[in-house]
Amino acid sequence: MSDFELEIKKLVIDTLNLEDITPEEIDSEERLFVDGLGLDSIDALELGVAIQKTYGIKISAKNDDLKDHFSSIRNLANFITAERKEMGA
Amino acid sequence: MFVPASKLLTSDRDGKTPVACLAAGHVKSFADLHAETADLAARIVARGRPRLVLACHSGYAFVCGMLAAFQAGCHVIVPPNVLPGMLDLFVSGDSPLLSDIVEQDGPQQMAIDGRRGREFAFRPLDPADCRFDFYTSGSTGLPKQVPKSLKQIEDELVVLHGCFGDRLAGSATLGTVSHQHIFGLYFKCLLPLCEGRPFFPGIFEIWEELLAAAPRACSLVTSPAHLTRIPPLDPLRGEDRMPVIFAAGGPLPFAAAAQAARLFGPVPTEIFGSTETGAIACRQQMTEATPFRPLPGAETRTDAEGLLHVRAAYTAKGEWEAMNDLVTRFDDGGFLLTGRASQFVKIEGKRISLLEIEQHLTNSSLVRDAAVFILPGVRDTLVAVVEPTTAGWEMHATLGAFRLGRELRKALSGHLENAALPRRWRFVAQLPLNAQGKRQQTVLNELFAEEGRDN
Repeated sequence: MSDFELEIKKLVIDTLNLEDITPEEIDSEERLFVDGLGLDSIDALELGVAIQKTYGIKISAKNDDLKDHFSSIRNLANFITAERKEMGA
Repeated sequence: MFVPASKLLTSDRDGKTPVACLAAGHVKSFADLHAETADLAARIVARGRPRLVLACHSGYAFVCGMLAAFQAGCHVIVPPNVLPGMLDLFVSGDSPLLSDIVEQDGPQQMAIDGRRGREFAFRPLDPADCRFDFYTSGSTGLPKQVPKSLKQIEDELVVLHGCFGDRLAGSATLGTVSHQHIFGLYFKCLLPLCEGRPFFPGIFEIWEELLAAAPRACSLVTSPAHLTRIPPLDPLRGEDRMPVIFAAGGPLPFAAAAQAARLFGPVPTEIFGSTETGAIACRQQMTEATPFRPLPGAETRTDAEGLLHVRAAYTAKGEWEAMNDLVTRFDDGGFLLTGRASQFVKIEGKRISLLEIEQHLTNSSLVRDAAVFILPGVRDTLVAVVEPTTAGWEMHATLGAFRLGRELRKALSGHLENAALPRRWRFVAQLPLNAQGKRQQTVLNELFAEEGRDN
């Protein structure tokens, strides 16, 4: 598990106030929504806001793989890393 | 031009008038609606059932199904959501499912799939004879039936058109809310349909997707849940700004109203009402103390307990109806909401029966007993205290408290919408009861005073 994935796990737990779970207990490849971590559409809204505020990236739906990018911690970490590179951050 | 829904299919509306904006720029026109509804109505008549259960992903499919069912003389049942566990409560051989969820016709289902070809001689409908049953959270824990005629709906749409028609003129409508409930159905689908404006038939759950799809100067039908969770955006400028934002479900925090105005243009127009009454009052929060004002023709009064009662031509039989809201009422009929009165709670703008959630929970083999309630805070949170069965404790030992809570949320999600899924969980050996067997709410609340983990 990369340090950045750990950071994203912490962000997910803090943003959504998930209780009784540590970052280590989240598998980087498990599904975030519906199955796996069992997040829902309200969580998706809050996570989207937190990621854009924390990392200064813009999430655009024209980026049509949005659901894919949010499907696991690993995909999310890769997506944020790529977006920040693109912005020259 | 405004055409009532009952007269739409027999009107001289131009066939090229846009009705629904689908994905990838594809638009369903009035001619499409006409042809698809004719085919569907012919199939419904051939089926010969008195009732249909109308539950759709797409608001356009819903409108086709509604018009076709009424043309065929059927009674239309509208479940509160399209989840399989919910539909099971309504669907039978005598009441087949009419839906775009199913791909083909079957003994208990008919597909709304856009096929055309069959002819049907449309007639002007008598809206008083077109009957719906809507459903909302009920005191028994089961969905409560709310009968409504198309006449009631049309009377209300005329009022809404009078209030908002000028500002809405020409705008396409997008929504984050479901047309299985009357707010979404009226504001997202039927008002645009009758006014000859296009609407986006889907339910946008994510802002980024909504804004990517949104044409310039569109109007929005949304909820406090979405307006309090807007991502960082550049404000819309000039002609891109939205003419109207409708929100309903609960009071919108003033800061969220101001933020929406800064980003999108207008201060959101909050609609107050219920499934039983329809829209009764509205407000745009210019200050934190802006009261709701009755819509034209609607009246308000309060009883000795401060409970709001309302009446309009389109409330059931035009009688006074008690709301579930405590208010401060002003002499001009305006009011400010001060609280909720009974076991129904409002969370994320949805009316929810705590009893219904508890009953679904105790149906699980993992749960012996459960208390579901609202924990007040900056944002009210729906929480559950659960007394697990032996099987429940075994899962608690292997998966931990978090994963057990997620399992239970998943079990509930077959029946209930996301807003009705508890967000925080505590597992206890026994629910705290007093000597009379009543729940000790203070003790229950205190379970959430600390972080999770070691409870």
